[in-house]
Amino acid sequence: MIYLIISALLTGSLFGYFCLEVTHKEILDVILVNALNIIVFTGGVEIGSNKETIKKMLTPKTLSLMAAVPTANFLGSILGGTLVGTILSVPLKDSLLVSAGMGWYSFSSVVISAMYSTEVGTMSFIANVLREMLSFLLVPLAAKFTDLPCVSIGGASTMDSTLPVILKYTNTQIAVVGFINGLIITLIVPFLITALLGI
Amino acid sequence: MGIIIGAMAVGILLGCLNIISYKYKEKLSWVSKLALFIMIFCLAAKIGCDKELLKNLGTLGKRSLLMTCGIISGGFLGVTIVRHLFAGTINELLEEGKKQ
Repeated sequence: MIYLIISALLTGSLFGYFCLEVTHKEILDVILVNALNIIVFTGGVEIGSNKETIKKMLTPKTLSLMAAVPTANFLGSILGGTLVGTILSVPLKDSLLVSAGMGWYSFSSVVISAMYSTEVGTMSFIANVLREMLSFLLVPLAAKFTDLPCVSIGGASTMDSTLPVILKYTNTQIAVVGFINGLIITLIVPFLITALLGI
Repeated sequence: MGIIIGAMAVGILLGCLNIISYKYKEKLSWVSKLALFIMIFCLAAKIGCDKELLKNLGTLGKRSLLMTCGIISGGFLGVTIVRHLFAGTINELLEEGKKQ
């Protein structure tokens, strides 16, 4: 699968650079969303086929784990991003805003560009696209050494685009935690970015 | 986001009800791989066709890349701590998965 991911990344960027214009972005978005829905649907079928797994996951202990994972992911990502930002002399608010995107580039970059600064919006876009792109390569690598921390890499994207990679390289249980992690993060990101913009 | 949650819910429901036969489930895995290829291809093409963004990659890209490394490392470290705190629960879950 890793070769499939790398070849898609390479052929996609070359095709985009040599054969497409910015005006084609809308068509690409339509294809992208439909492909995403198919991926999520097939992931759902795989998770649903393991009924017992879902039943076993509905315990207070597991539910607290599902709450702890996105919380730790949020705190760790924001602390890590802000720390590196401070070292690179990026203003604190800008570092916080870039880190708070949590891989949801389509939302964070647009809101930050429109309501704060185009430069920080562009940084947010690049950083969050890189987070999603790197997840495709880092999840298979991290899965060789560990299980649960693999869900942290993709941030919000673990509920959609990076879910099949998590499912393929870990197992159904970790994929369910990954889906919940992505869902909770996706629900929190808009509030967090709006709150940070208000500072 | 509603459509994504809906797609997941319908998928889980169909999986739980066992409506899809094993033969088609195997085919679904190929469909999923093909959709993943198309999705990553489009994502990369979106960046490749944006010459303005590619110009900015040089100046803002380095800072963004280093920040991404910090963001990913921080999140990974955070969840690794959770992995240790919830070691018992996770191991139980993984054991149950192996039994099935």
